[in-house]
Parts: sequence; structure tokens; C-alpha cells
Amino acid sequence: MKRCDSGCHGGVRVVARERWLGWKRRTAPKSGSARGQANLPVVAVALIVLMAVTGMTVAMAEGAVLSAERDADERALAVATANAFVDGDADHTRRANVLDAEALAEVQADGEWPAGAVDDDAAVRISASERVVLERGDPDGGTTVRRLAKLASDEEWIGSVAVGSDEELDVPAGTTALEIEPDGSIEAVRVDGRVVVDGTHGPEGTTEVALRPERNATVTASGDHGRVAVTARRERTEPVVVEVTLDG
Amino acid sequence: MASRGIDRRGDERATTPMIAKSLEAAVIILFIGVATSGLYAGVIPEYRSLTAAEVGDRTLAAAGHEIEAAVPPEGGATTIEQEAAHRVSLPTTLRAEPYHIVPTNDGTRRIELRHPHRSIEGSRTLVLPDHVVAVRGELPGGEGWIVVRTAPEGDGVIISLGGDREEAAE
Repeated sequence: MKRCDSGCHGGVRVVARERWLGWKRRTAPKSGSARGQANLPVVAVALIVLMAVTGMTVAMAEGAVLSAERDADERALAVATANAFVDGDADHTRRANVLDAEALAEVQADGEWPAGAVDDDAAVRISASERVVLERGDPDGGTTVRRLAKLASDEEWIGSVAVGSDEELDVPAGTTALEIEPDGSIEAVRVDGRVVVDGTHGPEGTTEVALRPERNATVTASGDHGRVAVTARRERTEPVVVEVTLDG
Repeated sequence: MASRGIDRRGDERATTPMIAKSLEAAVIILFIGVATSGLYAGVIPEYRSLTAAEVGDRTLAAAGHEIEAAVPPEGGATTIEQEAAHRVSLPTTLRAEPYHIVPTNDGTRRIELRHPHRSIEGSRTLVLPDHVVAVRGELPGGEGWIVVRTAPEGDGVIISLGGDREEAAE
């Protein structure tokens, strides 16, 4: 470093800064006080910048906290209600996530809520495919939870098979139940070779047979003459969006 | 540079940089002090409480969902005495303090969050089917157990909560 007097540090640096700040060099030696604490304005500026940054950070944190906030309680209740509504145990469902169309219409007509479903002081609306099923209060806004479910209804298919011929009746795929109504002189009606109607002890009424939907059953009838009417029931499903809106 | 005739003035000037530096240091230490105490006195505890309250709400919601999901479907005609345990994992502490989730036993099916700090609290209705007879015990933060047993009377189930399996099964 260049050798200099005691004033070197303050002198040279301050003069340089004063020149940078646009001050006349001539004024520097005259006013000692201005020269001495010339760093302070810079410190002040730095602190102001630091404060501004801190303020901005706090504001950003505030925004983050506010945007992360949601009504967890309301949402939890809406989710729980939606889960209970599509649960396999409920009266209006056939199994989990499959609603029974008839039972749902009954629920809609009766306005009876599933057991223990919702808090009494919350306004709730349950709708399936934008058709309101149950409503209590008037939920305005609130939290909406959606569940994709199926709406199942029964479809009937009618066929018949002649008695005593080698005729076989194939019931449609997905059949869950058969209704067999024999007419005439019948020895036996078989579904997939299993005897379901025994006609040797006189004529019988209608017989119901449950089938597994994945089985493609065939109906055959043996005997003298007559016909067997077969009604097959199968499930028809359509997707439905269950919406639970809760405002509490 | 300084002339030899005014040496005395030069001596006085030597203190200037020291004063300048100490002033700067003092100002900055003061600023840091004010800023830190300002943040710690107001903003930080407020945010801590706010965040803890939000996490508490979600913890309560999660605990409720766990309890609701633990309920088995209603049995048929025969009831076999059985017991099923589910492990749940919740935040260990809220606002650096332990807490409990306790079912209220006043007829309504609710669970309550109990925490030493007053800003964190909450309760929530449980959506449970009718065959749940009672909910007992308490669920601490961290790892907990939900034990579902058939009621001694044979109809319905009892849900017990506890910090470990033995405690919940009692």
C-alpha cells in the first residue's frame, strides 16, 4: 500500500466518494463534518433497502399463508358425507359406488338422510348428475366434493324355450336373475344343466334363479309339450357424478 | 496531502474513521435488533399460530377420515367376535407441543383437538354408520392406533383409539 498520513484513509476514500457523489473536490477539505460521516447516508440507504426487502418478504409470506388456508373442517365433513353416500352399506346403493336408481328415487321422494350423515347446523346439498337428491338449508358457496359413481337400473329381457325339443335358450350376458315360468307338461327346466324347476310333482308357479353376471347361462326344458317363458334381468349402469355441497 | 505545519489537526482527524465505523456498526446493530425483535414479537408468533391452527385443522380432518375408514361394513346375521387394528400417522407435534385428539362423549359423534396453545383447537363431526356403538380413548400426535372391536353385546362395533396397540385394545 502507498505510504500516507493518518488522514489517508478518511481523506482519500471520502474524497473519492464525494467526487463520485458529484461534490466539488474543493469543498471537501473545508467542511470536515460532511467528509467524516459520508458513509452514513450509504448505510441509511442500505437499511432502507433491507427494510423494504423484509417488508416484501413478510407480505409474500402473508400471501402464501392466506392462499394455503381453506376450511378444512367443512371440507372434511363434505368428503365424509360423500363417502357415506356412495358407501356399499347405504340403503340406496347396490354395492360401493353403485347407486340403485329406484332406491335413489325413493330417497329423493322421502327426503330421508342416510344415518348419522351430517352435522345438523350445516347446509348440505347432495345431487346426482345435477339433479338434487337431498337438500337441507340453502348452501351458498361452501365446499363441493365430487364422486364418480354408477347409477344402476334393471333391464328386462324376455325369451322362451319350447319344451321337449333340443332348443337351447341363451340368456344375455350380464344377467343377474332369471324368472322362469313354465307352461305345459314339463319334466324339468335346467339352467346350465342344473335342474331349477322340477315339474314331475305338478305345475309350479314362477321360479327365481340368481345367476352370476359373468356366466353366460343357457336354459333348456324337457318334458312332453309346452313352453317356458324366461325373463332375464340384467343391470344397466350409467355413470353419474355425485356432488356434495356443504356450507357450514 | 497534510502539510507538516498542522500536525495537530492530523492527529484529531485520525479519530474520524473510528467514529464513523462505530456509528455505522451501532446503526446496523440497532437495525438488526429492532427488526429481529419486531419480527419475533409480532409477525413470527402470529404466523406460527396461524400455520399451526391450519395444520391442526387438517390433522383433525385426517384423523376423522382414518376413523371413518376403519369402520368395517355391517355384518350379516352372525357376528363373530373380532378385532382389527389400523395404524395411523399424524404430525408428532403442533407448534412444537404435543396434542391429543379425543372423542367427545356427550352423545354427539365428534372428535376434538386438544392443544396447550389457545390458538389451536377444533372439533369435527364424525360420519359413522349406526352400527358404531362408541368411540373411546384418545389419539396422540405421531403414531397412533385405531382398534375396531365387536361390541360385547354382539351388535355393533366399538372404536378404540390409543398411542400403541395394547393401549388402544384395552
